[in-house]
Amino acid sequence: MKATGAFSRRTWAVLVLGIVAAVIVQLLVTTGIGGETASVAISDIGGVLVIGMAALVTIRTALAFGAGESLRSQWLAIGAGIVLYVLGDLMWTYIEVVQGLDPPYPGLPDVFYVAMYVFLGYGIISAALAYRGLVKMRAPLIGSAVIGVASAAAIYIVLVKDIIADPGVALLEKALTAFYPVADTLLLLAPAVFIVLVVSQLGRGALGTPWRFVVAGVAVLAVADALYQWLEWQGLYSTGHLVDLGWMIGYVLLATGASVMRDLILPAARRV
Amino acid sequence: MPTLAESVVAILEPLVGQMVADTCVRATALSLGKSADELQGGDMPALESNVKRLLGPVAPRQTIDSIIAQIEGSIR
Repeated sequence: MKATGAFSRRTWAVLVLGIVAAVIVQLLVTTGIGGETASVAISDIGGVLVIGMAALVTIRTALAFGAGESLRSQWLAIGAGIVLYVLGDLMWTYIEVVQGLDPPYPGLPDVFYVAMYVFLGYGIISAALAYRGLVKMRAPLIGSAVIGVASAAAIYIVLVKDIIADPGVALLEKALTAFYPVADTLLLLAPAVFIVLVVSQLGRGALGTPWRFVVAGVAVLAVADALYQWLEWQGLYSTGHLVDLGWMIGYVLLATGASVMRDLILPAARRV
Repeated sequence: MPTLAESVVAILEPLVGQMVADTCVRATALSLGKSADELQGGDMPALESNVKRLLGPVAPRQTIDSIIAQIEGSIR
């Protein structure tokens, strides 16, 4: 079974070029080439390009499956989530680079960032539930629920509680600041833990590999989001911060998972 | 010479792992009132149908077709 033994060149390209591109963007920003305005533009446009590439790879994977196949709708949902994130970033870039303004928080880009959770979460949960005929579901469901609720509680205590109590923070900003980390844990991390516990029952079976990349990506995104919320609250975040690298790498890992799934499409065997 | 059950498990294992491959074959045998070792060429339609039903939501259709063809090839 050729495709299950190793990753394709396309998959390696997505992973390696994606990470290299993200690191180059971050290095250019960190070194401050061209001054502050150029750094902001490089960071914003670089992020759109890297995450846009991840969206393209994921959507192409979805469309590689036939109409009516479950995998098509699962990966289309994940791809749509990434596209929404890119649209949010495009809007952010327009405000910051073209208009030369500080993007408002909360602002229009947040509409897309919030919508992203619905699609990404749906894609991962529906993919995990698709295994219900093959493996046991109760233990993964309980395990992921416990981890999700515990993580949400920890984030509330460490981060959200203080932001909500801060009288200097407006109501909508408080709501959104609470939403992002809680959605990260309940709509992304918990479904990701659910699917990794589900596919861990496949042992070395190749079907589990794409989802391990997805889980790694979601974990990186969740950490980056939590850090961003804290930095933003402390007034320490500015475009080009190291936390931006986390978002780029998180989405590159999701796209790598998509490409690994595409590697599993075997050519039709010749019937004798 | 391996039995049909052993052949099917060997074909499914790279994709779904040993445990799930075993479960897939045993579930088919059970539905036919047999043990896995008693499965024979005549049980292929039930086996194919079960493999398609279980893998359909999680694996690419082309890959499932390829697996079915390999299973059919293994009993010739």
